[in-house]
Amino acid sequence: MNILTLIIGALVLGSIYSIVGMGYCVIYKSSGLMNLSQGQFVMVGAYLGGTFFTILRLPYLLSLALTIVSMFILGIVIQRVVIVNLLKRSSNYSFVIVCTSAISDLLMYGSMFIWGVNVFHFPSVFNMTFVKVLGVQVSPETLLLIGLSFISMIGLYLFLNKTKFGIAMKAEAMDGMAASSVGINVPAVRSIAWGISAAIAGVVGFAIGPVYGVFLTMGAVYTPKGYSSAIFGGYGNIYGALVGGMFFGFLETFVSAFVTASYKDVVTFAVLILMLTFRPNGLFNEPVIE
Amino acid sequence: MKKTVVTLLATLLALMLCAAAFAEFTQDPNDPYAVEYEADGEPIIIGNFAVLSGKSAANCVDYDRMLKATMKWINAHGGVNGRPVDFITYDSADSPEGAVKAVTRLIEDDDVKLILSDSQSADILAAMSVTEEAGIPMIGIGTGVSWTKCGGKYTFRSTTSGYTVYPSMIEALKMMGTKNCAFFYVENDLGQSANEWFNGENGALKAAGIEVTSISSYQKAENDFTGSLSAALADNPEAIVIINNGPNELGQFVKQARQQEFGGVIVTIENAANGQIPEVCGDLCTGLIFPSGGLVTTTLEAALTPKVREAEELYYNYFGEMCTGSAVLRSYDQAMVAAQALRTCGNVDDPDAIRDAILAIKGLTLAQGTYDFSAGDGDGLATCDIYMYNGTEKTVFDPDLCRKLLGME
Repeated sequence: MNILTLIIGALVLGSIYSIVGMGYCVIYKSSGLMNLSQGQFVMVGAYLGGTFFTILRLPYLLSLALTIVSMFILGIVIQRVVIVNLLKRSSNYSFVIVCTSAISDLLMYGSMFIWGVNVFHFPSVFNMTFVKVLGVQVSPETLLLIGLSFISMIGLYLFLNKTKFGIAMKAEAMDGMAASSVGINVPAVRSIAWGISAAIAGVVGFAIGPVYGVFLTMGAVYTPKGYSSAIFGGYGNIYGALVGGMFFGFLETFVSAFVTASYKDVVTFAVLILMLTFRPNGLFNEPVIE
Repeated sequence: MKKTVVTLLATLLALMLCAAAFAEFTQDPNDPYAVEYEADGEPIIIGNFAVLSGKSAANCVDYDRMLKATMKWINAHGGVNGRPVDFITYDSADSPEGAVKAVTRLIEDDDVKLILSDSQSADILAAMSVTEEAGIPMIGIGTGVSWTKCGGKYTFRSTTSGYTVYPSMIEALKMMGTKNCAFFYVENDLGQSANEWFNGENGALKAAGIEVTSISSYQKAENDFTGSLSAALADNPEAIVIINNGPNELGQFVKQARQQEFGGVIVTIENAANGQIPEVCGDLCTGLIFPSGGLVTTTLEAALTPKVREAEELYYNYFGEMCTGSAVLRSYDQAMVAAQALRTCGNVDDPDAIRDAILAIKGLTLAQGTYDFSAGDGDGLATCDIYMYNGTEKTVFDPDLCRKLLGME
C-alpha cells in the first residue's frame, strides 16, 4: 500500500474540511452565530465557478476571481438581508441558527432551479492527466486544490493579522462594544466576515470541481465534516479548524484504507463525540462565547 | 449610503445569478413534461413514481424525461386505441419510504390501474409490497435481483437485470483470462444483492474459478476512493469488479483507480454506458467493460439496431441533443411495454386484464432486446451484450483489443 498516495488523498479531504471549518469559525468569531449553510457555499461556489469556466469559457484565473467576488457578495447579502433583520427583531440566536439551515435548503434548491440536477463536469485545467510527485501519480487538479486551499488559509491568516480590517475583526470578536467605542464599524466588520467566509468556501468549491465534479448534494457532504473540524479544534479558533480539518481528512482516509470504507463516517463522528465529551472546548481550548 | 451600497451589491449578485441561469436555460428550451393529446378520447391515467430529489436525482433525471417523451410520442401516434395516456407522477425522493408513500397515494387516492416505477431497486422492492397486495401491475426499470423471480404476480421488469448482467460480467472476466479480482459494491439493495450473487455461499466468482482478493463496500454517492482503492490494490488484483449506483461515482472510481496505476480491466454493470463516464475520466475509461441491454451512440447513423435508432431519434427530436446514457433505453422500453399492454388488455380499468396482457407479451422487439414475459417470473429480457470503452468511445467487447489497449499482451 502506498502511504504517499494516502497522504495526498488525506491532504485533499483535509484541505476541504479545514476551509469549511475555518468559514464556520470566522462567522462565529465575528457574530457568535453558527452558519449551517457554510457547506452550501462550497456548492454554490463550485457551480458559479463552473459556469464562468465551462459555460462562459472565461480564463481560469478570471473565473476564480469572479467566483470569489460573487461569493463575497452573496455572503454579505445573506448577512445583511436575513441575519441582521432577524437579530433586529430580537430573534433568539438559536432561531437564527435554524434560519441558516433554511438558507442552506434555499441555496440547494435555488441551485437545482438554476443549474438543474445533472452532475456538472469541469474540463481538465491542465493539458495532462497525471503528474508524478515523489514517484506517486496524482492528478494536477488535486495539487491545485491543495495549493488553493493553503493559499486561502495563508491569505486569511495575513488578512486577520496584518491588515487594519483584520485586526478590527479580531477586536470586534473579543469585545464588540469596546470595538465600537474605539470607532470600529462593527456592522461592517460582521458583514465582511460573512463575505470572507463565503468567498473562501467558493474558492475551495471552485477547486473541487475538476477533482470530484459538482453536484447538488456536495454541500450536505461537507457541512457536517466542516463543523466537526471546527468543533474538534475549538469552535471559533481558525487554527483549530485547520488542525481539525486535517485530522479528519487523515482519519477518514486511513480508516478507509486499514479498517472500513463503508463506516468511516461512523468513526469520524464517534471521535467528535468523544472530543465533545472529554474536551468540549476543543483541541485548542477555545472558550465558548456566552 | 449604506442602503445604496447593499442594494447595488444585491442587484449585481442577482444579475450574475441570472447570467448563470440564462447560460443554463439556453441549453434546454424544451419542456418534455407537457403531454399533448392527439385524440379527443378520455385520457388513460397511469401512475408513476420517479426520483426527482435526493442523492440519486442527478442520475435519474433522464429516465423521467425519456419516459414522458416516449409517451408523448405514443400519444402523437395514435395513443392507446385512440386514447392518449397521461401520468400522475409522485416523487419517491430516492427512498423506499418515499416510494411506498407514492404508490399508496396512487392506488388509494388516484385509483390508477398500472404503475411505472423509478430505477431504484430498493424503491421498487418496497413499493412491491403495496402493489402486490392491491393487485396493481407495476413495471420497473431497476436492475437489482431482489424483486423478480420471487413470487410476485403483478411486478414486471422492462430492462436487463442482475440475472442477465452478472453472468455476462463473469463471461467477460473469463474471456480476459482473469484469475483474481477485487470486488467493490455500493451499500444499497443493488450492491448487497449483487455481492450475495457474486460472493455468497454459492458465489459465482468462486464457481468460475476466480479468486476474490478483497471485498469492499462504500456509501452511495461516495466520490473519494483513495483509501479503499489503496487497500484493495495492495493485493495486486488482475481485475476489479464494481457494482455502483451511478455514473459520477463510477467515473470517479475509474479515474482514481487509474491514478493509483491500476492497469487491469474494470468490469461493472450497465450504467457504465452513461455518457457522463467519459466526461469524468476521459481516456482513462479504456478497459472499462460492461454488459448492456442496448447502447446509445453519438450519431443516429451509428445506431446498432433499428429500435435503438428509433429511441435515439425520439430523444433527439424532443430534446435537441443526442442522449448520452444508454439507461434512457429502459424508460423507452418501459413506456412501450405499458402501451402494448394497455392496447391489448381489453379493459384498461381492470388491473388483472392489464397484468394478463403483460404476461402475453412475447416476441416484442424494443431497444434493449426482444421481450418475453410468458415465464411469469417478472423478467422480460433473458440476454444482453457486452461492451467496452476504447478511450471515450464505446464498442463491442473484444478481449484481444482490450488486452492490447491496456498493454496486457
